[in-house]
Amino acid sequence: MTHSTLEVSHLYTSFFTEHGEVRAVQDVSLAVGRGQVVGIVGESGCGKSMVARSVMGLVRKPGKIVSGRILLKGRELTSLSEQELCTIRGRDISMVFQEPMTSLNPTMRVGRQVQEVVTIHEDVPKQEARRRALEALGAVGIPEVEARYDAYPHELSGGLRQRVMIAMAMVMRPRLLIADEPTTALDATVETQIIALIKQLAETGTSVLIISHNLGVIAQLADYVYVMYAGRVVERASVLDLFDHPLHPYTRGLLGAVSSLRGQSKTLQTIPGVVPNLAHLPAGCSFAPRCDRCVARCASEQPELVTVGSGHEVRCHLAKGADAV
Amino acid sequence: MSETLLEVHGLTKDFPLDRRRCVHAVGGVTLAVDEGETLAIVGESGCGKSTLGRMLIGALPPTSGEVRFRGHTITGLKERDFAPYRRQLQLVFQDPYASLDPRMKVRDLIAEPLVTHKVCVTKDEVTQRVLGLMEAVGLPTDYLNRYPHQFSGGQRQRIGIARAIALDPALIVCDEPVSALDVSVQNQILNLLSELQERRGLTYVFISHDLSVVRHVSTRICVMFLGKVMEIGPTEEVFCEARHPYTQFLLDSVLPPDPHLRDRPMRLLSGEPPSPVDPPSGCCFRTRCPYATERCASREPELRREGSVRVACHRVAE
Repeated sequence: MTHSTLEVSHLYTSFFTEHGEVRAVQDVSLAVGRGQVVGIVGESGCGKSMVARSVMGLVRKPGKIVSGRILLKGRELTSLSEQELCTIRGRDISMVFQEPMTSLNPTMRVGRQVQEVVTIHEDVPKQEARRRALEALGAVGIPEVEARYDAYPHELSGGLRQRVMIAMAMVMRPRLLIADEPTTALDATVETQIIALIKQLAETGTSVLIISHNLGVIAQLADYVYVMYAGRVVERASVLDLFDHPLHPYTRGLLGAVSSLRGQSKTLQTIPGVVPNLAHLPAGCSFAPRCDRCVARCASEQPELVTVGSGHEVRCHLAKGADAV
Repeated sequence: MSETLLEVHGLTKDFPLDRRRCVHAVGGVTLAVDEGETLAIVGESGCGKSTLGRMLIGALPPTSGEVRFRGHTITGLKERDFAPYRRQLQLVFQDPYASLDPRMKVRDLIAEPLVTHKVCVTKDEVTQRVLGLMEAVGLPTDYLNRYPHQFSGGQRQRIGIARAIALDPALIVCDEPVSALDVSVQNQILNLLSELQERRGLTYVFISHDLSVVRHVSTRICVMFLGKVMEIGPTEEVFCEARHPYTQFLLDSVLPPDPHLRDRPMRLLSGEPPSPVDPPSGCCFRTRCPYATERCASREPELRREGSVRVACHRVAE
């Protein structure tokens, strides 16, 4: 196998607070191949955004990558200085955030913001930078690009702002686009437009890591899916495998909760209890206190991620036919 | 037929921007809410659904039009005359983090409506009622003296619901009550709302942008665009056979949590949302509608009855 675009192995990211070490990411390994869309799904606080921030080198104090490797096209990122990371961010990896209004500079015309990405990374004449910015804005489907070039962020709709963000992310043609809840703040009809756009980018060879709590977004976009719970990957599978044969009780609970909304039963399926506090995780499986299939072993022993079929891995003591990896 | 609980006629709300211009947030809405039903109001951000919800319970005075509760006009009443209606009309907010005073204990948060409306007199009585309410919404009663930050998002929403049902209201407007919650918790709250409805005979107006949630909870659905009602009717009928082009687009934009359905062609809405400051002439959806004709620009379609559904579209009326 050739190099994946992105390879993360055994990543641990923690926050060192006055209440002790909060383990936001624990032993996360994942790979994104060329032109592949990989999804991370999970609920708030499961560490999915922290994986993205770790890859981007954007973990702020008191947070820190404790151990693990992050390889972009075979190049180790965790040992790079901030200055070196700056040359990579925006050129080789880009990130699109949830809220386009807070990620754009409100006092700067949007075209200039896209143009700036080009001039930071390359020594090109202004005219050339402008040409490329216009091209990028056009490629993400912004109508009347010339006119919109001089608009300020507040003059654009939420959908257009998110397109500007994607244009900024794509103007240097990075190998990897990380999209953290890119449509969560958007309306449904705009969401479908942005999903279609990200699909298009992947078809032209960009690798995409998409982070979302929305199983609909994941089902529509991702080729492979990682399910995270309390900082760990609890299941990993191709999108069809995951939705057709979910193995982890948490994945089943999530899918059950969503599909019962579409069913006839008056009472909706839920997952009882609440997400555990990351500073005081249970000794065994983090999901054990909420799991209806929990046995004695689950409370005392942390399950390993085991392979149960081609490319399907699950972190559960009860997974049938499991061989430890 | 069940009885009409709340009716609104030609309800309009304009928010002035400066001397000349204003945002036409809600433009002439007429509808009725029946006793015991759940009427969902759906539409995208800025369509006026929250503004309408606040006018329904008298929390926001309309620019014109009137609201009638059990036949009595409640618009334009003096504060003192409105007080008895306020008890009947309650609101559950979207953001359980922002809608609770962080310096108040849960017991005081839930007791506040009881004390304000002088329902309970003695301290003991208040505590008993608060404990009963906590039980009703599934909060552990030994959390009586905790502060909001000590609760999870789902539990905070339970506190908000306890406050809303404290005065035994007839109608609760739920404004995006589960949008800020995780999927697994969202369903817990939806189950609680339907259980309370059954036990207490509540009527809900359920404002949401999430159509799969709406389909599950509501009996009727009202689709809004730019402050106007596009379509209103029984939920299943609207979902199975949407008549208004905007409703069709909205339903098509639901991303099914099923990867087998991903290669179906996506219908994308063209153009940009029109401005509520300067809405298009005629039908407000026409600038984005693939079927728009000259007639749509010149004349505004009325909300017309089509079987059990009412639709505002010239094309449907043919």
